[in-house]
Amino acid sequence: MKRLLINLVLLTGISLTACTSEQAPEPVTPSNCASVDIKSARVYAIVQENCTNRSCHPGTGSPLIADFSTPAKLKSYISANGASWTLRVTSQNADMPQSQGFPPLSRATRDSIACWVSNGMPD
Amino acid sequence: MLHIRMLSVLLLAAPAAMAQDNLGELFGKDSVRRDPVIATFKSTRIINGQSNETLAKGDLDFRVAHRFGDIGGSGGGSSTFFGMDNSTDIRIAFEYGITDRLTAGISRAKGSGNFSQMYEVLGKFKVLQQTMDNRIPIGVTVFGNVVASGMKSSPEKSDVNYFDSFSSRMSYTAQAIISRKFGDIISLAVLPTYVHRNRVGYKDMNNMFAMGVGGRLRFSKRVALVVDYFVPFRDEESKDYYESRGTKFYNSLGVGVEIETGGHVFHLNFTNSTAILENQFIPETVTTWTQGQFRWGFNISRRFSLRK
Repeated sequence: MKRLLINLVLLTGISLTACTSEQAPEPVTPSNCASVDIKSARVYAIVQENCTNRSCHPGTGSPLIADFSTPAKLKSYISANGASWTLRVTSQNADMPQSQGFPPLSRATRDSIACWVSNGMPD
Repeated sequence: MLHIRMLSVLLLAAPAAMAQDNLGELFGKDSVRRDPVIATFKSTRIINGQSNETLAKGDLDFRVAHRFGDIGGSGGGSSTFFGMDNSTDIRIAFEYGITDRLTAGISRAKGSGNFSQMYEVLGKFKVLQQTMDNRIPIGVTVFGNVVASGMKSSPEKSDVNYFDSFSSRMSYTAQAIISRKFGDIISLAVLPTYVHRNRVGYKDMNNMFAMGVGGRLRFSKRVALVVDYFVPFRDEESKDYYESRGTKFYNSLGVGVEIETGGHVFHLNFTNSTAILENQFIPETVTTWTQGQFRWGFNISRRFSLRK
């Protein structure tokens, strides 16, 4: 019992020595999205790679509400759910894609997608 | 003369006998009065937050917690069967009662928020236990955990999940659970909490204090309503920065029904927070009840006694 308590105290001590305080640097976002040339084809390739190729958002089955099966349906979804798209895909705290083997989108990718939306989703 | 002696003995003995009676009564009452108040909560968690309860010595608690997707809003509705097709977080834990007052545990959670693939080591110690005679009117339990993320590092330095060392993956919670059971029906808890995250996003806070409250209202011997609510104290600068980038933080509110079925305790609950671990649901909840972003979830606890 005493040994267990000593181990617990040691473990706590060791983990507390790993206590640091770091803050990510400010994300470099394009100050002017007009200078960012990104088209629907590129964004749709990102969406296919990260959002639809593992039975997610396929246009059939679940979750049907976010149907990304074609570029037109992707645009239609973003037009109807702009705030949700921003919150869940391009914001700092974006939670998409939700694991299931998908890696998180990098800041640069999220910024590029945000600029594509901001520029009116050009083809 | 003999009569006088006998009378004297009786007179002297009577108060002594009475005193002995009183003493016995006093001890009897005392032992009742000093009985600890038990089952303030039926489980070691209220919903998202900890309760004051620790495991009995030698008890192993196998816990499974699950949070589904949004019930309403753009991510919910009938197409996801009101969130049941998605899971925002899942936690599997083994917790063990080292003594009646000290619990230690390990868990793995999917994670929801900045980090995923979470590994947790936790400890919980009952400092004070409320007594029936109100000599100790409240219970005080302290809880702490250390969590590390096993997720792959982002290549972008400005991403919160960019890890240049192992310590960047770690976060900590320290919490006091101050509880009181009022009669047999109502139990309340106040949970001052401190969360430290080693790495946070730009303008986010490494150190965050929060205040939680929780309660249990018993309907019958086996069924109770449970509620918990956490208010994180995020500074205005941080709030403004994130709101300017389309992210708003919300307080976490959980409401649920607790069902006890001998050895098992089921929590069927609804909560706006997507994460299960304190390190995430307190500082990183960005979903709100008012937009349908609440979800069904459950906590299942199964206890095994390993004591011979």
